[in-house]
Amino acid sequence: MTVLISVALLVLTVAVALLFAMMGELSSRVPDPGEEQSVVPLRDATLGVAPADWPDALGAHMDRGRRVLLVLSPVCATCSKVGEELSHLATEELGDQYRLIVSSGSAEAGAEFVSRHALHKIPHYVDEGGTWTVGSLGVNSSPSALVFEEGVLTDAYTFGTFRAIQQKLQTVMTGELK
Amino acid sequence: MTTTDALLVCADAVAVALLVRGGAAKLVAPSLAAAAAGELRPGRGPVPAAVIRALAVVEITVAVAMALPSLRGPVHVPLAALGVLFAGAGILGLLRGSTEPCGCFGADSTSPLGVSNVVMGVAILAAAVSSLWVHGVGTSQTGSASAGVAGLGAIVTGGWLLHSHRKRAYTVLGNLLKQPEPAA
Repeated sequence: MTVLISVALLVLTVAVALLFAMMGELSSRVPDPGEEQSVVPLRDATLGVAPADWPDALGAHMDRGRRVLLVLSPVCATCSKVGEELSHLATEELGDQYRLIVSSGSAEAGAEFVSRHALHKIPHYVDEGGTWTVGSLGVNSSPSALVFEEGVLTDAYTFGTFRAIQQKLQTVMTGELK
Repeated sequence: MTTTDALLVCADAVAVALLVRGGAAKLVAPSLAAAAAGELRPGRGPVPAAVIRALAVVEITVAVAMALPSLRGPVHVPLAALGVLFAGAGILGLLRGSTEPCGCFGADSTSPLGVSNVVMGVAILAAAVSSLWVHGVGTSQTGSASAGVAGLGAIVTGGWLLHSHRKRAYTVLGNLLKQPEPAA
């Protein structure tokens, strides 16, 4: 009996430790209110990779010049805020370097996200189940911004607002030009 | 229970707490540990997450086996192996100048592989070797000793979890003690 209770206690302890680990992992993905402007390098991404096949929906010439792929998901609260932010930006303000991946569980949910935030103005691809994003780039986090130079993934960030990532990319580009 | 047995129970309880917390963190979020382990083999990228998760399962299994009298003796052999693995990773991290956060106990573990891993590995190895030295590999242990390891291990793990999440605990306590404000 004592042994049974001991094992049960230890199994319960493992379960509690797992719950705390999940809580810690979740809270590390949610920025504090004061950190909304933060842009953090993304650890998941496979830097240096050059995808062999690009989804047609992203448009031609993905392997030329500088392209920034924004990865958003309908189930992430920050992504909805970013979507809202993008919906208020004119096409000219965005420029032509941005492309959008909506990583969603179903094609319908992805299309609804695009429609809700009027994101048709950006070349976009609904990645059902995140298959292409995870398989080709190793990216499993959203929102994230993936920078490609001549088709090669050179930088990857996770961010709180579109303005924050836009400023970060401008700073990086200015630094490179200097 | 003799003083030696009591000391061995305490050492095993600490090992259980280290394995349970480390295993749970690696099982839930293996990417940090995978990146840190990847630094130990330059040019080959992060270690696959499945490998880190498999290690986490081994850690948790070893911890739970400590509560079974019939397994508590033999399980000190894989425990010693884990101690060597952790200490070895720490030494390699120091030699190769590891910079990635080790993620050994979750996102809060921001230090790279190094001294703390060596200390942890040596502590686990010492607990395992001491027990093997005193009781041998095949000896079945008393139910009270195993229950002591499980109970003390649960207390140490629980206290450590509360300490790590004390800010959130203070917030919850503060909210409980706050007087409800009257509606305007």
